[in-house]
Amino acid sequence: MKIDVKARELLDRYLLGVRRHLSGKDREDIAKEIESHIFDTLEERFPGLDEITVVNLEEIFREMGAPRKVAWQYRSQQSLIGPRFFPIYVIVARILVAVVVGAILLSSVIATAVGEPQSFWHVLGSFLGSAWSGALSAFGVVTLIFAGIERAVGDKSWEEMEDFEDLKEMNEYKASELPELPQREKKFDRVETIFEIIFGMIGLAFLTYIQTSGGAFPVRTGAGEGRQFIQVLTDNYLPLIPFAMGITGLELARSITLFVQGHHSSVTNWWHIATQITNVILMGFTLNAMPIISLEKLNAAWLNVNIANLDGAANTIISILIGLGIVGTIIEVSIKTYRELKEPSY
Amino acid sequence: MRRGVIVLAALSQLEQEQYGYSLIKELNDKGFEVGQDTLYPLLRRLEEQELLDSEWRVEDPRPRRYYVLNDTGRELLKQLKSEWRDQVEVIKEIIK
Repeated sequence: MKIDVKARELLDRYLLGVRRHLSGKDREDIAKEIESHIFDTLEERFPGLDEITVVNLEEIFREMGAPRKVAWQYRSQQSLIGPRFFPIYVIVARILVAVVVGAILLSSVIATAVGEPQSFWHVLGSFLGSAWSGALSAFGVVTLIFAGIERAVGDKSWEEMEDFEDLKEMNEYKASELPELPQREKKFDRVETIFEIIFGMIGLAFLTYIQTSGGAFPVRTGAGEGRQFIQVLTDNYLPLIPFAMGITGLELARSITLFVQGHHSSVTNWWHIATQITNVILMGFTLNAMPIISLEKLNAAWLNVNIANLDGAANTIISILIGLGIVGTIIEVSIKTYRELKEPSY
Repeated sequence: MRRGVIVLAALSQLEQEQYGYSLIKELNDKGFEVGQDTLYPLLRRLEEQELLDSEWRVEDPRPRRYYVLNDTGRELLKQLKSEWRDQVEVIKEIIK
């Protein structure tokens, strides 16, 4: 049985919708089995049909319901907020968070207009702090309420939820709600992730070492002589090491999460974006802390190269590399943020 | 009550291997109405509980996942059948 191009695309969008509401290693397998079931149903329903069309396919989808409904049946344990309530939960959370942030913005504007004059940065910082805590509280309250409803309704099936007609309607199949097929969906690469974990661990070990050694490295200065510790990183850089360790730790934890779950998800993608943004900020502070290395003692004891103003040259090169790193990371973060907003992962 | 019976109904038809759609059809043909939304997740759960074995088989026109009872599943089926018969007798006695 053939399938026309538009029907194939619709089927792929439906299956993508199902996959996005599933988690765990079996999600590809489950989607494949649902696809197999859809074709079996089509064969039975339309015997002798040469080519499956969108009309045939939509008849089956209407019986099956929205992808989230199909995916929900596979949940192995009760979710905090299951797919039955998820659509309405998202709407309520968005509205409430927008209202809270809007109210905080309004109160900040009024307070700035009538209160004591303050610097722009102070006002901005105060607003961002209040908006963040307000949005988080609103989000938390909505989540708790919906988690309570989820538990109150318990294990009722979709059919048993007669009191929730509107909710049932929200979980009916609608072609307009199917996700668009991503142009480039990043595939999970196990080997790449293993390398990320190994490099993350090496990075963390290195940072721990320079934190404890105070930026000094052991150098064997000559034959028969013992090792001598020479400080290479300046005191300007040392206060930044804990932050670098924090970012490396976060990225390492993300790589391990990615490895365990076996696919890229909204959480791991936004996690990566957040650590990259923090990394840009840290690189900015590092630039501000220049010079961060001092090679004069190392040169005298070991390198023995004849370069005038070695420290100046080394720090300039590092500044250029960090500058390039900042530009590159900002571009990467912008692309990833745009892609994640346009084609969100689940 | 129906939820518990579905397990018995599904296991009883899996002494011979079947793929999801053929099992739904067989149960429906025998008068036991069950939909894909119930049966496929149930098959997964039974497999997770190591009562069923499954494998993907590429057959014309497309790959299908076949399920069949394993020894543990057969043992449980025997037990469920026996419990079911006992309960039917008890209920018959109660409602007569």
